[in-house]
Amino acid sequence: MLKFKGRVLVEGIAKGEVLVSKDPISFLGDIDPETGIIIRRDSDIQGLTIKDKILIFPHGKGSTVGSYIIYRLKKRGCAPKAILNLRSDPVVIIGCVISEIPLLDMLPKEIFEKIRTGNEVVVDAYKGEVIILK
Amino acid sequence: MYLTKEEEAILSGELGPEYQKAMKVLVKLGDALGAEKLIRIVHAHISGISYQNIGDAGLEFLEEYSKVKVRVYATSNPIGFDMKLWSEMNIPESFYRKQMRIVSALKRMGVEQTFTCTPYYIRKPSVGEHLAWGESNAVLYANSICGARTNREGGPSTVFAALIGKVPCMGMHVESYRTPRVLIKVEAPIENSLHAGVLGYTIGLYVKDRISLITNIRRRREDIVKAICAGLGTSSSSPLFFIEKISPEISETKLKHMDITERVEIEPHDLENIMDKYSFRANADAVFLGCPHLSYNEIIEIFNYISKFEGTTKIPLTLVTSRKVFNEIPENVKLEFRKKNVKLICDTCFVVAPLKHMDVRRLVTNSIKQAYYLANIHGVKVGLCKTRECIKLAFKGEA
Repeated sequence: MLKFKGRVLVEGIAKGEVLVSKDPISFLGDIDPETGIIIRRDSDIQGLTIKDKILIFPHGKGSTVGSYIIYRLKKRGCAPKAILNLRSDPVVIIGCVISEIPLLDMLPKEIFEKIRTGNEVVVDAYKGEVIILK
Repeated sequence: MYLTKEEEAILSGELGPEYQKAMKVLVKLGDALGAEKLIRIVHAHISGISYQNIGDAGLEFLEEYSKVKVRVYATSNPIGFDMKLWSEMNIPESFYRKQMRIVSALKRMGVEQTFTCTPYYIRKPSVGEHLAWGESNAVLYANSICGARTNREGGPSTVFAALIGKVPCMGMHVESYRTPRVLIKVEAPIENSLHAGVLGYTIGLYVKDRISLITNIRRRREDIVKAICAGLGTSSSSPLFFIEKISPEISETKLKHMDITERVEIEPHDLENIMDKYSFRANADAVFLGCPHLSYNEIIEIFNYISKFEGTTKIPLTLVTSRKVFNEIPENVKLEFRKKNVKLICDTCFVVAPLKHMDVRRLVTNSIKQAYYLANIHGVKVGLCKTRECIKLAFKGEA
């Protein structure tokens, strides 16, 4: 069992399957707002869905409309259960606060070497912990 | 972050869930980005309100927050069409309805229906004032030309700042961050707004997110500094530049203590390299002027030049401005425009309009910002010309 510490930006608890994107994500353009499926062609996780996943990516990028997309995904029931970042940018922070999606950042870089898509994890976004179960 | 009693109360939900969430966003942003407190703003400019850009996601968001009112003077960026000419613009009815739902939501919130990217012509900020402005050209204009203080806010953050009337005190709100690091010496003649826009764009490519000091610009007319702001905001995320003899914050002492780490000279060929990408002229099907929105003086100058031409335009010529400036333009000027088939429209901007319905494929403009976005977002072929060449092209029908 591996445990990583981060900084709490939006509180909450989530347990579920991980989806890892090694690339930064722009919520506007990279993700279908109706389904949560990654649509960017050169993405390493194209075709997979972020719905009900623990989504981890280094940081956000692109248009501030991205915050609205996160909010829309949540309303459609297609949002991730939690988001983990190395550094959260304003687009992701605002999107997660208004959508009440647990958000941690300032996780150590090594997490990308240890965590794999499909791992089961618990995110405790009160204590700021990510625990990899298997 | 330190919060006052009133701010704590809003955060705990005393004014309801909308204000609570707005406060939570500001506090989280401030905490994440190292602010110590919130500061009061005098003007929020809300960007990201065209249905073309924000879609149903943004519409649903704005409707949810339209249950409550803004707590500070707030203006709004352009929408997807001219409110009075939308049917002439070939706007589909479904688009019209959704855009009007956004307009009503903003109205309920108490946001002024200015629909312009030039809020500085609606209310000019003073030196040292704190603002929360979206829209990159306006942010640069406020910081660099007016000496006011705003970060480059995004669509949603301008809404939250307007609801609370405050922003986290960080970035451009903090004196010590407002220091130039790159010295730009302009060795190319900048005579008009076309070249000024391309200059701004070129500088933006160098500075990226850094603050620059721009020297050696001889012409400092309003249209020139405005075009520099628009160009620089297109190619960079830099929130501020200083320009000799214009930026109010430049004082002798500040210049002496400057912390310049890089010096760049901009030569004529730097500008030509950019212009070469937009050299197309032939068979244009539209000429657009007004990115950013035209000022009163710019429209009168265009009017004076247009009187030289007989007859009507051969290629449709559209001038874009704000409703406020439109209302100030004398009737005889508008009449002359109508006679010559020159369209003067407001509330919108072709960058945020649903251009695919308007049958525009080959366009000529004087604005690098417009050229960049229309080519990249809408896939339109764009040529760049000086204002007068644009007008000549519209009347003669060929370059």
